[in-house]
Amino acid sequence: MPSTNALLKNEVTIFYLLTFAPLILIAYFNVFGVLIPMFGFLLLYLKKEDLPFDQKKEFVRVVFGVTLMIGSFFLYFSWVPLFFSHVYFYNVTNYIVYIFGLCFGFFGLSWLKRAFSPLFLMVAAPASHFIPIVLEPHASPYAIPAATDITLSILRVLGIPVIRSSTNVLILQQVMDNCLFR
Amino acid sequence: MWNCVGVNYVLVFMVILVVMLFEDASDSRTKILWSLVGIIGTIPVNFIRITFIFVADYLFGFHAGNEVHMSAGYILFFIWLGFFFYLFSKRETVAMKFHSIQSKLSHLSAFARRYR
Repeated sequence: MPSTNALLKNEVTIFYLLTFAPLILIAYFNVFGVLIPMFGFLLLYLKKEDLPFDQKKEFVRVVFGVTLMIGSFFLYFSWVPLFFSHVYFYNVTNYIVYIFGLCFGFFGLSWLKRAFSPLFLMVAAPASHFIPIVLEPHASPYAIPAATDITLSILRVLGIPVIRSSTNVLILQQVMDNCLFR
Repeated sequence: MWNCVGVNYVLVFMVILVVMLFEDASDSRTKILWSLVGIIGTIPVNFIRITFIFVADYLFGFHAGNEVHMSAGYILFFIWLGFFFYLFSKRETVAMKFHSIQSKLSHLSAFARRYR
């Protein structure tokens, strides 16, 4: 009969294996897309001592958690026709749903406060891509010309021949020459 | 061109910063100061990224430039992140060095004033 300690250790290993496994899938579709979730995983790993592994598992909770975990693999089929036309089959959003299901199955809702930082990281980092879309009409008239000026100065200092074709576009001289001679 | 400005990187950096500082036990003044250093530091990193893309384009052609375009941002961003958090972990040493440079400069300016 294995001791409670050994069982608990086993459970911790299973939890972290299950947490890590989808990262391979994310990396398969987008190598760089795995960096933020990996960071989230490491944070979750650092919180190993804080997570309540010894908590009693309720059947309904586990079923709900497993449903979320399995469902996370099929999000693609609901997104593509409804919202986005070009998303990876498995990405950070699938992973967030998966982690939520996994943690809910293992710990219930009590873990939410303890695992706030890894979850916030995984949710907010991909979501932050929507903010530039909102900011663009307001900030781009100021930011783009300034950025173009600075880039132009750096490239000229480095001796790279660049032409400014409009206020915001930089073109390499050789590209321009190729276009003119064709 | 809007994506080239690097707003995405600044925002992702801010999210990572919030998470790391949430976990850290230092006082809020230190956290705010280091957050500013981190966010401002992301801007030159983005200019380095754009420069790398142009240099690769110029020296090795469009395909190499495209490859650099796909990966340089991530690589430079994570190098900056690692460097920033290394500095943050050594913040007391950095602060001490900063203060010693500051005191040397004030000594020098006092010395210059005396002999003017």
